Amino acid sequence: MSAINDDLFIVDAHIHIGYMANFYMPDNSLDKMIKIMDKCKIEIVCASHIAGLMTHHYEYAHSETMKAIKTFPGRIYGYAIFDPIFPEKSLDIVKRYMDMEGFIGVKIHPAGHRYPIDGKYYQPLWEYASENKVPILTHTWDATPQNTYPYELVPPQVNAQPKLVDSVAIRYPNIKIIMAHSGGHYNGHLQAIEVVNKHQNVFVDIAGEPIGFGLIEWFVKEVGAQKILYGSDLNWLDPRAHIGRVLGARIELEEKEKILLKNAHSIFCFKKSFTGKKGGEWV
Amino acid sequence: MKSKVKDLEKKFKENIKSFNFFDSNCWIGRPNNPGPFYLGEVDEIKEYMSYCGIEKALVSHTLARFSHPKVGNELLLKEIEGHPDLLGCFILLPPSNQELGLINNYIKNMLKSGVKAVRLFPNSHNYSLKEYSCGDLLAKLEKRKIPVFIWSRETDWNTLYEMCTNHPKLPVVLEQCDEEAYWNLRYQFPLFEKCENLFVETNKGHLYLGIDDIVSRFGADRIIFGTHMPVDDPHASVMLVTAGEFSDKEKHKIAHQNLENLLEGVQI
Repeated sequence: MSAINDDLFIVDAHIHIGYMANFYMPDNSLDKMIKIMDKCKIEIVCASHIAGLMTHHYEYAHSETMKAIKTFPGRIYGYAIFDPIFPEKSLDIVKRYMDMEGFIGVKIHPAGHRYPIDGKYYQPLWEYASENKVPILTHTWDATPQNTYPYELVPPQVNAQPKLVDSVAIRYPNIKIIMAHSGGHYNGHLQAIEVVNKHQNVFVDIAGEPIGFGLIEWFVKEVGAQKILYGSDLNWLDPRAHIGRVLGARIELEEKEKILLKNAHSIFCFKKSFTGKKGGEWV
Repeated sequence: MKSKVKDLEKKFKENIKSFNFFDSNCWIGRPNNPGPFYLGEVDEIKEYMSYCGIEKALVSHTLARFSHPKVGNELLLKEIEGHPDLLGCFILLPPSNQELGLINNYIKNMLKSGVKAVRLFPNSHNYSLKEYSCGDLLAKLEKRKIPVFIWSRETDWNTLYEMCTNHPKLPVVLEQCDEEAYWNLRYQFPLFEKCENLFVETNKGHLYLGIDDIVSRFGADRIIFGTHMPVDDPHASVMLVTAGEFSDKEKHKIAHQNLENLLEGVQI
């Protein structure tokens, strides 16, 4: 286990473990990830397993996430994953893992699972999250035509448009919802800004592909730094690129502090001492 | 806690200055799809370069891409005149239509003006990069070792391979401005193995550990620092170099030396 030292302070609210079939990943080892985290002053990462987001193998995804949490407790925290294609079984697994130490929220991927954020099969998750105060990280993107399989009628990203979060936030105003990637591209950014400003508990993260010039300054101006979380999308994308963007942004130091760590600490409960138990045993 | 962020920011900015960054992919003129923040004027770009800690930049003009190379290249020369830290990069067209006049004369005049690098946009400008169309142009550039910058979505991987192998002394710099480089490494690595004249620029190169991996497999000599400013945030590319998993000597190569060497290698 890597030592947790006072020198580390950044919280990366959006990372992944596991593999993607359609591109080369140089090194997916947890040891390397911890080394890069140390280098970048990242204390904590919040991880979801790719297999649970891009396929329907959620049992495997959760068990791998659990292994990562156990290997580096206090450094790696996990998202349970809800799969709307298997809502009942998936919710059972979400409940089981959310009852274990190290799981701090639920990740959904409406594009990967090809089901809309506001669709009825997500309803059991929203009910559970509302009752149990569980933060939700949802992939969001504008409706780009990329990534469409031949047998699909609509591009998968249509299911993940930020504007679809609006009706969920109206119905469940107490759920803290983080819109990943701030909506993806420009049209998605515009939607994300509108939804975030409408709801007290809706946030964005800066993870992933969007590295547009002035994007962080723009979001700070439009929604305020208190609504923005640092996320990288590691192990797809490199945390150093996004830390550089925050450090280099023309915003106040206090705003950088909120983005890099404070907002995450206000949303998630990062328990420091691990006993191997919470409600349930580590499996 | 505030001091930790401040300390990290201070260290980051000091690091940038120590590596003398030379940006190979900087643009002046207004982009066609400006975001909420963009810079177009030379003074604005220079102010941001100074803020960011980038010492020099190779610049192209958006009008050369979106209006016509003849118009944009001429405007570029006027706008960067008197700015020794901005070096021009022309956009060219295939010679058959003679839109730039006789290509040999155009290249000679280009070099006389101090411009030692070019960009090609075959897809956007609707021409073929194959030998029947661009072979003569590429041969002329190869003869003088003028580096050619080309975006991955402006051609295809097989054509890029043909271009590099048919013109082995032509420095070819792959850029990935309008897509994510992380999709491309299964295409890129065999090209790096087969084509010693192929380089890759850093913008959008933020696949996790991607640049570190290229350095460890192919050496730091193959990577050219670039930002695609002011469309993309230059700090992303910058920190991938300053915090890279490689030596300071290798960081210097990527940050400025490799591009300086390519430009110094141009035979006027």
